[in-house]
Amino acid sequence: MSASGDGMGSGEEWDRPGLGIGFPGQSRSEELAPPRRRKRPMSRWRMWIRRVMPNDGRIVTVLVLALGFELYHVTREIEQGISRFDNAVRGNVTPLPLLGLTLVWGAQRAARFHPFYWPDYSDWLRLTPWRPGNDPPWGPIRLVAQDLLLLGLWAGLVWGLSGGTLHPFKVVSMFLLGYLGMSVPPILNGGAPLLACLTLFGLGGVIRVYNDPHWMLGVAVGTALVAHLGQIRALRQFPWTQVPTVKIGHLAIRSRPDPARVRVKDSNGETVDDPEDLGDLGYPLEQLRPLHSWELKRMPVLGAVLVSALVAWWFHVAAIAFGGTGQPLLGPLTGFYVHICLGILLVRTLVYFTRVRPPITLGGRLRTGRFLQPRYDVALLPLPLIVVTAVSVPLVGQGLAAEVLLPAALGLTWFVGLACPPTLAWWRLAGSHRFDDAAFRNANSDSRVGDFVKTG
Amino acid sequence: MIVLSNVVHHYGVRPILRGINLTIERGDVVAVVGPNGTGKSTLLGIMGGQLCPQIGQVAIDGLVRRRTIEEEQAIRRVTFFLPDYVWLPGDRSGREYLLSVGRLYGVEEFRLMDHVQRLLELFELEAMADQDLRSYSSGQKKKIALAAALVSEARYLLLDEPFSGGLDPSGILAMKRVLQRHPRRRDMTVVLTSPVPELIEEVANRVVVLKDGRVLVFETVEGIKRLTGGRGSLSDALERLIFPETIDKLDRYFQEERLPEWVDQTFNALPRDRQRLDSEAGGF
Repeated sequence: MSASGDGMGSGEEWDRPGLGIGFPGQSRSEELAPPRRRKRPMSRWRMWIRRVMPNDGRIVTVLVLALGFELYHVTREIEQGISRFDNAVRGNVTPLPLLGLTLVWGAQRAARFHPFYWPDYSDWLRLTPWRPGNDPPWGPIRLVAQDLLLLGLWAGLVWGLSGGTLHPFKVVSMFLLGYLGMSVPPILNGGAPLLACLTLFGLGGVIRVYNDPHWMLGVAVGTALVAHLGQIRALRQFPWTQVPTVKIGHLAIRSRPDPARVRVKDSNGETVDDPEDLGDLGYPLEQLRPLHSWELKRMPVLGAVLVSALVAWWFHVAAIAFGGTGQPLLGPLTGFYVHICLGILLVRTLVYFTRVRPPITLGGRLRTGRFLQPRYDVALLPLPLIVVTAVSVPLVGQGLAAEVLLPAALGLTWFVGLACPPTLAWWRLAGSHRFDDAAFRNANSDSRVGDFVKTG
Repeated sequence: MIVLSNVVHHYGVRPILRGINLTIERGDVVAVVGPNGTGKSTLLGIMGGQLCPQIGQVAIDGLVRRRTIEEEQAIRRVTFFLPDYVWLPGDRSGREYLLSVGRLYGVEEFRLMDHVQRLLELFELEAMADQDLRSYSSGQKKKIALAAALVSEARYLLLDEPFSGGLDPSGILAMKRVLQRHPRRRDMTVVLTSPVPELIEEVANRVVVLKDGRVLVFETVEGIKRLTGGRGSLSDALERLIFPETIDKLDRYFQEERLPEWVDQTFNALPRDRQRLDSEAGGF
């Protein structure tokens, strides 16, 4: 019932049950109740734009921060007489927070509606008629027209706030950087590792050409197209049989398959979804169990090449981003280089030699004359090879720029670490090591206390 | 069938197993016995894949252990090795653990649920079934470990001291009965170690006697008794077989002290004096 003629405010509709008119069915309490404001239904425009906007709380937070930022400039203007619209002031102070904010916006946009990051949503979604190809009910995963509109407005605002120092293309690229970075884990999880790898290459490229806004946007858009293909492929695999093992609040990184969703049989009655990981089964089952299908797969040479190239590429990008070109980078970079090379050495050692022992001690080798244990020693060979590669490549390539030489050497070292035989499957099943039970015999071992219990 | 061919293994410079050759047929329940430190657990560990022999090989159903990925994977699907000490995940319940093991070995889900429940009842673990393993006593943990071996339905069970580790009489009885019945009905092969000959006599049909890292005897229980004169229990037979010198020493230790022979002859020649001496000495 409209009451617009009584001066209560235009555009508002009021129910006046308390007028005592006595509507049929009206209770006495309703009659005496104060007038209620009935909200107008949300406009279609507002519903349309809200579909991709961050929630109100976050918008308020950003506005508060922006207000605080402006107050800072106003304070400086009052104290030092520097106009807060001075380009020099804006150009020095505002770009980083604004770009950071844009990056975060892009990341949250990618994660906000993706069931990969919301296990409860994913569980609910798998019970609904929704299937990939349509936008999920909570919101669209892909970028839509609303995003372009908001992004355009934001880019313009940032350009103004930064005194014209931040090119709008850079703002858009930064948004895409956050969005695509957050899209990589679902793509990887969805069985599209090559597309995930290419996306990561592209992201490195976006940072590499940071100084040129046009190139930056071009690379970002190209990478976005690749990532879009990856998203489609990954979503086709929904529902995934993974559970999160790393959770940050509601944000969950899926890692290992869900042991509860184990057997799925196809029409022939064959098991098509093995229990990929039943969790650690203790000793000796964990060491002596049949390996799962994914454990038997070896990293293909192409995969090792891609991963190594990715590591090298990002090292190069980081070197340029933090050190620039033409500067003496060798000293600072060498430290990082050594650490990352040691990283692959450590990883290889830990993966292959944790809780295993040689079949015979060194003294035993000498005493019995069995100096070589080929099926054990073969796993030791890659370790010195990694060291030799890490040392020799920079020496051989002296003369090249540090930002090129060291990444190339790093890539080669990682390739050796990843691709050098024997494979982990061969080592675990056919290597002539013995499983080290000493840690389990020691009742005071702190490696498993609290997680495992001992029998016998 | 498990075939060990010339298996040699030592820790460092100390030899443990010296040229072991064994053939264990399908369906056999074989007990490995021997003095402490003679290599029983080492032998079982080699069969189970925990250790890799320096020389020789272990073949199960014609597949050689640790030779290739495919062979080892195929062997692992049909064998279950249970050492005398087992580490269990403390944050899992007993039921969850058994279900996980069953799934690992490819047991059909509908049979697995039922089998787990029956095993929990058999080992009197129903009340504890849904509690975390960290709250179990040592005997209960041992029962869960044994139940895991049974739930796997593996064709080859390699059990190191299955009757020890705090197992109570009901658990021992349950395990005995299962080992007496399962191999015949399910074509299962069991190799176990135990220091208790009485238990071995009840469950095993063949016995491997190890001494000084070598196979002394590989025979049926009755065969071992026949080898040692056929008297007494398996325990007596093993004593005579493994420790013949100890038996002699014991005989000598428990023999009454005897006077020198010439004194004894002189004493016997004097019957009256002997009677008097007997009465004075109180029959000494």
